[in-house]
Amino acid sequence: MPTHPPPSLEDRILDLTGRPPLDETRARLAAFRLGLLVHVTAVAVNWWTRTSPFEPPLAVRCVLAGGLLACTLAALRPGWGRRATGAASALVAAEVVLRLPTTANHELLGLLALLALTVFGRDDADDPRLAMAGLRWLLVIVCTWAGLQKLLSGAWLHGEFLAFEIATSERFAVVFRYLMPAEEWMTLRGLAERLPGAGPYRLQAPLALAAAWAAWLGELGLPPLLLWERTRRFGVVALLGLFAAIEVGARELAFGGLFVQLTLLFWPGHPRRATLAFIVAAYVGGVAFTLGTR
Amino acid sequence: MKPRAPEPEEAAPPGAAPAEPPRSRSRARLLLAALAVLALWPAIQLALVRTWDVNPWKLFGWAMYTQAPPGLDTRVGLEGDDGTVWLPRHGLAPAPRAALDAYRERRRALGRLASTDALGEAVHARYPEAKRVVVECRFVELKEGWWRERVEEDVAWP
Repeated sequence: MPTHPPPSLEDRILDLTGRPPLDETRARLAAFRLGLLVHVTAVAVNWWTRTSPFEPPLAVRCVLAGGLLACTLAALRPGWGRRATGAASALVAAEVVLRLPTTANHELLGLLALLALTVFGRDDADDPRLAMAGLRWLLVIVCTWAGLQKLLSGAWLHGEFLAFEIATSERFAVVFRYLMPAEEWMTLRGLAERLPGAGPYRLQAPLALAAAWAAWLGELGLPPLLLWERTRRFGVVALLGLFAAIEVGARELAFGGLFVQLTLLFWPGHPRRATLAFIVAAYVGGVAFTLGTR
Repeated sequence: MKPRAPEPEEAAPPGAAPAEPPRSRSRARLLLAALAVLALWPAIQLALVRTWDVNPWKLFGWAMYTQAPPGLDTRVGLEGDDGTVWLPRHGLAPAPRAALDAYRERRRALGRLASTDALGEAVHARYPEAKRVVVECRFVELKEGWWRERVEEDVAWP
């Protein structure tokens, strides 16, 4: 019987997020690659439509968006996946650097995912598993820190941040109208101006406060469920539910889309074409909506 | 000596998954090192936020949606023998105004790590009679559920 040395510490840490069969890993990564390229292209097109004077020139943004679209199309060609993610990594890295120090976190997250697919993109027995482990850990680390930062900020314990969003953002206001008494909602909506001494921005309604706690508790508490085989499926479903609930208010694909795609990497079995088609359609719809409303 | 081919029954014991070769150790270490940096960096970013007033949404600490974006007004002061003359943004010549706008964006993102040098140079080049150039940042921040005002002044030149 062929014998192998016991797994090293590196292997044991990386395998905490699971070690699916190689063919399944390859199939999941191929679907993720396409979804990720569509994601970074959509983000770049969204960036292209911005009019802030602090953005790089329009020509630069057009080149980046066009280049990423070309990478996405190239990835459809068999055997071109790694080249496509490599070129896209360079373009997104340029985007990240050009926008410093105001670069959004989701832009770095997209870059890290692309790099994982490129650096560990050899088609041998090793790299697909390393890429999968890297991407899975990426979600666990980022999601846990997002929850921890919310807790440490102190702006979520009494729902201060959400109260501010309800006051100033139509998207959040529409959702929370159904989670709090009309009087409280109207009071918050009257606090849209940043005037010294104005407040309090705090949630009193139990349902609204529960939503605030569910956000940071979910981000902090659900990722560890992905580390155990027994709780992994439940963790995936719960995280997808959490992201969907957040998106009802936040309505942004930049983080939501990428988090959903990374979470789906934990689901056992081969990816379904319908899921990938739904993801691509969601991005295309999101971009069309953005272009249509600006 | 020719290596012995494994017997069919030795390749995989009945009912057991076939053994898998270990990963390349160097590449696994590379990945682990990258993940360790990713896991530790937010702690450093948090320290920068607390110490230097860096915007928690920025510099990749995954602290988006933790702080309401503060209001920020900036103006430039020209210190001379007769005291300080304050120039709001719209009172500045185009070049210093652009420098003030750029500083404001950097200040929003980087907090007190944002350098005032470029602003000071641009303002002094246009108003060389000033003995000192100062910049005032007036913040309106959401603290413990209330908007609070905070004013900071910094020397931009010399």
